Amino acid sequence: MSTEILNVSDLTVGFPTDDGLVTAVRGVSYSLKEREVLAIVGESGSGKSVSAMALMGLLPKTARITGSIRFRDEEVLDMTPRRYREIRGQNIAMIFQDPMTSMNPVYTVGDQLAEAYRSHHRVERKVALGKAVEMLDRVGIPQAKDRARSYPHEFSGGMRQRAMIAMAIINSPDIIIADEPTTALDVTVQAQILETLVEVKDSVNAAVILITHDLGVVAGMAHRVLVMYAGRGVERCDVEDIYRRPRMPYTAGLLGSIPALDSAGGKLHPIAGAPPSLINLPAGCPFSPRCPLVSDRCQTEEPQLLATDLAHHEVACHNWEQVAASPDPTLIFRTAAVEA
Amino acid sequence: MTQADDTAATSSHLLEVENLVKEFPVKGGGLIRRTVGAVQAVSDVSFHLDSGETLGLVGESGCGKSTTGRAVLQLHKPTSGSVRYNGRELTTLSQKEMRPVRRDLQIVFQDPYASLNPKMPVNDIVGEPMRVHGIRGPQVMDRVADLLERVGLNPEHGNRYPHEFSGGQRQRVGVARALALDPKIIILDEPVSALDVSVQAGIVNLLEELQGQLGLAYLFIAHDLSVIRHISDRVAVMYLGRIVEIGTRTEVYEQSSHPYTQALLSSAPIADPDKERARERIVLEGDVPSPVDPPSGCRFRTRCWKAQDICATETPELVDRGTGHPVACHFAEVREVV
Amino acid sequence: MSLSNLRLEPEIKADAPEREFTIKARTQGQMVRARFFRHRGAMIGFGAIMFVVIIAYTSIGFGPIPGWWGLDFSSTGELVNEGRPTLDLIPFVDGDGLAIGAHPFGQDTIGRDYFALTMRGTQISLMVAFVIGILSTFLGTVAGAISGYYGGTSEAVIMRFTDLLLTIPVLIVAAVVGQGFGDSGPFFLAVVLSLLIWTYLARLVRGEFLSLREKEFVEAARAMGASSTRIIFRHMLPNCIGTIIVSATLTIAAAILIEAALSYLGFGVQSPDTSLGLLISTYQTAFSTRPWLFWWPGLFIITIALSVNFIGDGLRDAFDPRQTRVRA
Repeated sequence: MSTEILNVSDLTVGFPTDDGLVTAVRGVSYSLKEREVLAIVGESGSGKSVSAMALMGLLPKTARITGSIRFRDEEVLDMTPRRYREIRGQNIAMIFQDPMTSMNPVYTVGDQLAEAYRSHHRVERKVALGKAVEMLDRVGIPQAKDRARSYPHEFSGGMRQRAMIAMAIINSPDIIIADEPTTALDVTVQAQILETLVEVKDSVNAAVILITHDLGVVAGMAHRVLVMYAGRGVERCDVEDIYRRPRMPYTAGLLGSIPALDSAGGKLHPIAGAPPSLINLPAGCPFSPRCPLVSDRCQTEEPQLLATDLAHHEVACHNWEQVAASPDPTLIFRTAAVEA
Repeated sequence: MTQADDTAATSSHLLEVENLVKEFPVKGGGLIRRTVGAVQAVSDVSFHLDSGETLGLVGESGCGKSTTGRAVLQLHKPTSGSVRYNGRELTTLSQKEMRPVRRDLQIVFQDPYASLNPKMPVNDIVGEPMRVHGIRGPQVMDRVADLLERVGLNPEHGNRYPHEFSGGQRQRVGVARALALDPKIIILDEPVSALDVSVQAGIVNLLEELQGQLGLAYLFIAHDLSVIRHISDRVAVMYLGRIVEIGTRTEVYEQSSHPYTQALLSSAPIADPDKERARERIVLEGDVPSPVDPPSGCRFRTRCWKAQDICATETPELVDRGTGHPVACHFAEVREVV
Repeated sequence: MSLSNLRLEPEIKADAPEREFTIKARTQGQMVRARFFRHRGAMIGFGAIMFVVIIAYTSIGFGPIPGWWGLDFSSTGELVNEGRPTLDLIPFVDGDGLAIGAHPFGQDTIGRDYFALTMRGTQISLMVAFVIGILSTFLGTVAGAISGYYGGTSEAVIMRFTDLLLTIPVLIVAAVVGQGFGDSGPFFLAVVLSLLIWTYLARLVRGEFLSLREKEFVEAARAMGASSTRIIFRHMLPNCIGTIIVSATLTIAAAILIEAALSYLGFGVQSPDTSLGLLISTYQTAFSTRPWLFWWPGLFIITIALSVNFIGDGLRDAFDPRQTRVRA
């Protein structure tokens, strides 16, 4: 019986800018169980990274955050900075996209890992370094003892990312947030890193929030998926449903627009237009300008994330039943392209 | 014309690249910096391209594919080797002689944000190739409007600046600029890698349509195996400056024979949870060696599970070893990985 | 050109893209201007400098054009009230209201009106500073552009030369030159100083060019066969304008002080002409007896230097604002 360890409810994040208040995240809700892998999928402007940074409390002071983030019965947004610092790194750890800039170039890798450990455990430096070496070994870095004395620039991209993973798990966190962990890496290295991530997460019993735009990566790792668009969650379901039984036109469009590795298919079916700017959001559903199923209601009323015919599957679309009725939802974009 | 050969044939291809080498000197410190080594970015690359076809050049970072593209265009002067366009040798041309040739060989870059001059309005950007080649007057503006519409943009927005457009639109501007002089060959250097997934398909479709209508030849450089498979007629796989396998799309994807190609194909994720979780993955050990000091013989041998002594002493040639298409491996063997 | 005949249906509806424009249709120039005008320090500096320039050049006239201030800076006269300033800024203490009087800045030891003198000094100092600013910017840009774009031997030569000049203390060389050529007038001095100061900007511009050279839009220009001239002037220089303008402004600010220092040391402007530095130098001993002879030019030097610095700050912020960028 898996318990719920994280519950995000109606999270909203706004940034004041020259052009007005930009609401990067507009009411996102999801939950995370122990040892579960939740993939948050979205493109630029979807707000996926910002929502993760909100969890970690890494947003600039000017950010306006409302809503609720409950970590094991504690409300994160109400925490004192001191308490926040305790859980950050200890209970919730983060792996960033670019390993080169996430590590301090003037300290050795071993020192940085040891520092991460000593931030949450009162031990001697030697003990912490020993733990660091153990972690480096766990993530598959050969000759861990020697490599711990190297500097970040002496590591390759893949190894650096492994070191970041080691840094994330060194305190046995409950949740690991991986923000596009493999986007900057080559595909062969990506495979290694993802494998490592799956292994270590099991070994420390952590849940993972995997933020990505790559549906292939999601297919390999995730249990549940949250699709975000223009700052909101638009579909939330189990991983098989995303590929076999999507209910959101955007999801269907995404699936139809990516070329398949295992078949040389015919024409690609893109989604017309581009993700909207958060300053210039359309009225009603933000996807309506690009949606082939758009109806009048879509342009006036923004849909909420509501239940569908399938269990554990919510979608934010007025016309989801049309998507459900179609045997191959990617077709809805095909006919639209022909008519245009 | 058989697709598989690229050993010296007398058939006339639109573009013929033979034994292309490009090295970048590594300078040491000191008052006058001496050359202490060389980055062997491209080492003995040969291929050909015909009009109307797309050759996909795929490989990971550091394999030399971008450098190859630029060396073909003489943006980097090749260290040695030959590049022949319509039979004419390009490597020996001076800048001045090369200029008119540049009308036929164009390039689209990866980064839609850096490939357009932020201080120039889009009209000027697309019209510049024409002005550079002495075409002036109202016909320039007419053609610019034409080109913008052709790539799916509204010509009325032509007086706006690049930062006002989205990434996908900027890339379309880049394509329009490349088309301005009616080229015959376009080198596409990772044209969709920096774009959102849902936008990539639009650009790929646009490129395919243009190819169909104008008979363009594409050298499509990318690291995304799915996109390459979709758009290419023939595919060349590069590793550390060399082509390790080259063939038709079907041959490379369904009958891959080089261990690196197989590893590459097995690592690329498939958007299907059942298939993805059931796949047999070939996970490579170690890291890519440095191009300053590549391994002797076969450069892939340090990470290859088939490596034997001969791999270190004898560099495998890119020839057909019974698999139907050229492979550079002493132990080439067809294996289905996708 | 055969393309005109073939048309195809655009994939994206032409009106839909309005949504795709991520920000308002403002040019970069407009954004820079807006940020500059918002910078309080810069606006104060701008106001102050405008005031000084207007007063300096209109009060006693310049060249053939006469000014509105009756006295000129060279005619001597009787000392009124021992040459004390007649400017009264404390209206109510003395009970006689705000007064300008005949000699608001006082008179020097031989009866010359000090306001006129200070204005003349300001004129010369400003002129020298601006000439230095503009000329050294021009030289620095040219040197930086050539070495940055072409690299190779030209870069090596220019940069080694730059290094050499940088190690020489400007003041000393200027002093030597000023000693020999000081009689040729302040304009000549300005030119000579420019020849020594351009090196800072040369380095900056070279740096910018080095990074721009690798940018893809420059590669694109090369790929279409554009000439080097076109690339430098049309593509690279416009993208360095920010750095160049800011550097020019700060050079002017530094030049004011360099000129003052030189003249103070006696190697800059020579009498009968005057500059703010020379005024301070001449009357430094009067510090205790006739303080106004020291303070007025000093006040103007400080004001000008500070104002130009503020403007430089404002420009720098306008061209390169530090915004916290958050990915979506």
